[in-house]
Amino acid sequence: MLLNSSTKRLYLSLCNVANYSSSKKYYDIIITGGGMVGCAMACKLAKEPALRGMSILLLEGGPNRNQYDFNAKKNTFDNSYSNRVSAVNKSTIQLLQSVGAWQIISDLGLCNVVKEMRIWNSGGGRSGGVNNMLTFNNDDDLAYIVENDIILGALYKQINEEKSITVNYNSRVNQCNLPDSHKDLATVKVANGETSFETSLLIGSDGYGSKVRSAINGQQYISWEYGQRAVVATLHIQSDEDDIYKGHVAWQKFAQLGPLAVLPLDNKTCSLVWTTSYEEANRLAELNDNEFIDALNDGLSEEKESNNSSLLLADDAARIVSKVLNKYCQLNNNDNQNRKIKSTPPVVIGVIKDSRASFPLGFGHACQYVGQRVALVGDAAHRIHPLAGQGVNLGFNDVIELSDQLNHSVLAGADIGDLNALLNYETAAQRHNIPIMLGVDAIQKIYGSSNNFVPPAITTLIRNVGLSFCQSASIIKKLLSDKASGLPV
Amino acid sequence: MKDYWWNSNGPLNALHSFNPLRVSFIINGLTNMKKIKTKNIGTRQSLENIKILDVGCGGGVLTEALARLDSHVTGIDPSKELITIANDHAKFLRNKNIKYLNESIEEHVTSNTESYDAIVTSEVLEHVSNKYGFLTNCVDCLKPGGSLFITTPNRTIFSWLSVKVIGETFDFIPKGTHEWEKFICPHELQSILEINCKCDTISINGLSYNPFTNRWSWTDSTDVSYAIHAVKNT
Repeated sequence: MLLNSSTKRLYLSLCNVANYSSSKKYYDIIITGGGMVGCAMACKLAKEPALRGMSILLLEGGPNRNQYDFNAKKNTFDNSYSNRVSAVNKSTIQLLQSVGAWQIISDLGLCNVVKEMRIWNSGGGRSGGVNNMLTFNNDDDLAYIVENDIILGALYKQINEEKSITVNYNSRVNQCNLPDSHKDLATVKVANGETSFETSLLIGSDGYGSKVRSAINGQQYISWEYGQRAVVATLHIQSDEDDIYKGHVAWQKFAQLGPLAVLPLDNKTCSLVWTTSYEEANRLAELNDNEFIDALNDGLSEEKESNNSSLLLADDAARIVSKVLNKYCQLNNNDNQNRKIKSTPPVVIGVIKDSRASFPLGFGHACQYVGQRVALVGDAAHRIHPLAGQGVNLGFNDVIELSDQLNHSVLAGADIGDLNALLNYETAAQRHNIPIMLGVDAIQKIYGSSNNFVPPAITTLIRNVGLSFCQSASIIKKLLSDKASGLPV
Repeated sequence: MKDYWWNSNGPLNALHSFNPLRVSFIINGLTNMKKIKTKNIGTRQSLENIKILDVGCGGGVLTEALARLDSHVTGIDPSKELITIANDHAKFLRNKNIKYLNESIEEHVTSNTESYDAIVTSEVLEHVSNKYGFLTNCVDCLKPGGSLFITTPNRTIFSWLSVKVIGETFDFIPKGTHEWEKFICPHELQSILEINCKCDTISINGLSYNPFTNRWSWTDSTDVSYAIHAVKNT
């Protein structure tokens, strides 16, 4: 009886093997989603010495965009900036360097370094009040602003040189079956193709609506919408010749409706990320370019005058706190005190044609990043508010952690889809990501929204005191800017 | 029984998570002995063409890891049931040199004297009653200059507490797996290897296991568990 059942099992498994080989194509690793994070994942894995020779399939939903023409990009000036940019931190740059993509970007000068960040918030009650500008500047560079298309282009250039990577375009994942045990393989079906693929390790980098994520058994996905949209555009600003950091300053204002960021692309060109309510975003979308510029300058510089006495009181209280703090910490930030006078908001003088767009914002956290033969990276695992520019950096950090773990476990003779290695990745990635996600969400909640539960006077007080406190306490500033640069604090 | 061995979330998860450490212990040991070709160091082929015998392979958790690194590995175990499980599972390996035999080391040594580059016996010695006979047979299978790798718990109050009391009470280790009285101390093992088996001890390293994170790590203390690398005299 026992013999009988085991023969039967053997027969069945042989049948399975036969089936697999006939209708399904096998790859060691399949990555779904050829965005920045998915491409970086493919490149990084292909270059990992321990994984050399493993076959990698990258499934991209979109069409094959002709190879990015870097030289053309170099020769045409401004006007050609795209409206989607990323602020990449040091650890991301190290990753891009390790796959050879950063060299392409920096050799052609397609990145712009941020040397200083200037953050301020709406002054509460009084008009014209940029009374409290927090400045960050490090001896090292804070971040680089690069267009998403350029990062993608550089990564695809590297991918095309790797023989082990196959890229299938127009291949949106339709269905994926994950195994219950490590003895079976994961299978992926593509929407418009008859073929399905089999793999030892499926990596989901298919964005915040991830199909792979929802296929993980027992997955819980915590998410909410912020009720805000990010309005993006590429801007011309008036360059300030006296500014020593000219062209390398990132501005961020915490306005009443949400944070407003202006990121430098070159001396006179900036990229805008303006978080605001749905209604306001719709209103802005209907304005013509000149009206939009006016609205933007209004948003950047002045505040609507308010007669609300409690707001004025909160503002005064914040001023007193900031004076007291400044007095005690004067030794630390003499420089900033002196330069404070020059810290005025940028003046927008033009917006590049057709560069305006907007998209909705939300928060998302997958409780499980991994499962049997599956791992999530990037927005598939986590989605955050763009106010700190950390979203893509978290994604790239996932790439670093996952490739590290896979490298270690494969060198120790484990299967590429070994669950222990994936669980190690989950622990490492979540330990890094969750504090940042919660921090960004908290900043969003304090600075970026008008909620009805907390009286505006109190939020104004917290906002102003919070900024003064950060400005004065150099240690916190150092910590924040180090954390933002992605290197161990 | 099959799920018992090969479910990495199952009762033997501590054995699965032990793999990275013991495999790297074997690779490092063989690298130090200059048995690994320079071109293979730090790659998936690090054990290419190295003949390894895994004594007491059980379900083949370690044996398969060694096979994946391109070694020619033979796993032996006196339990017929375990060898069946191991053979069944090895079908999922593609193009690797792995072989399982249902025999004890006493039987195996008769036709395989001096034929292996390395012998691995991981978490086995604590189950063996006649340690002297077992170790001599192991070393007899080894080529001169070949390496013997052993991992086993120490016989101390700490190992009794962690293996028998904490481990078995909280189900980190299946009940009745170990008899503490059979455990062997590093100095006893070292003296058998050096005096009776004509081996040189290369290294003894302490091991520790954190059941909450299911992770193993090296420590300075051999009080709970240890790994030993010895080389047969030429």
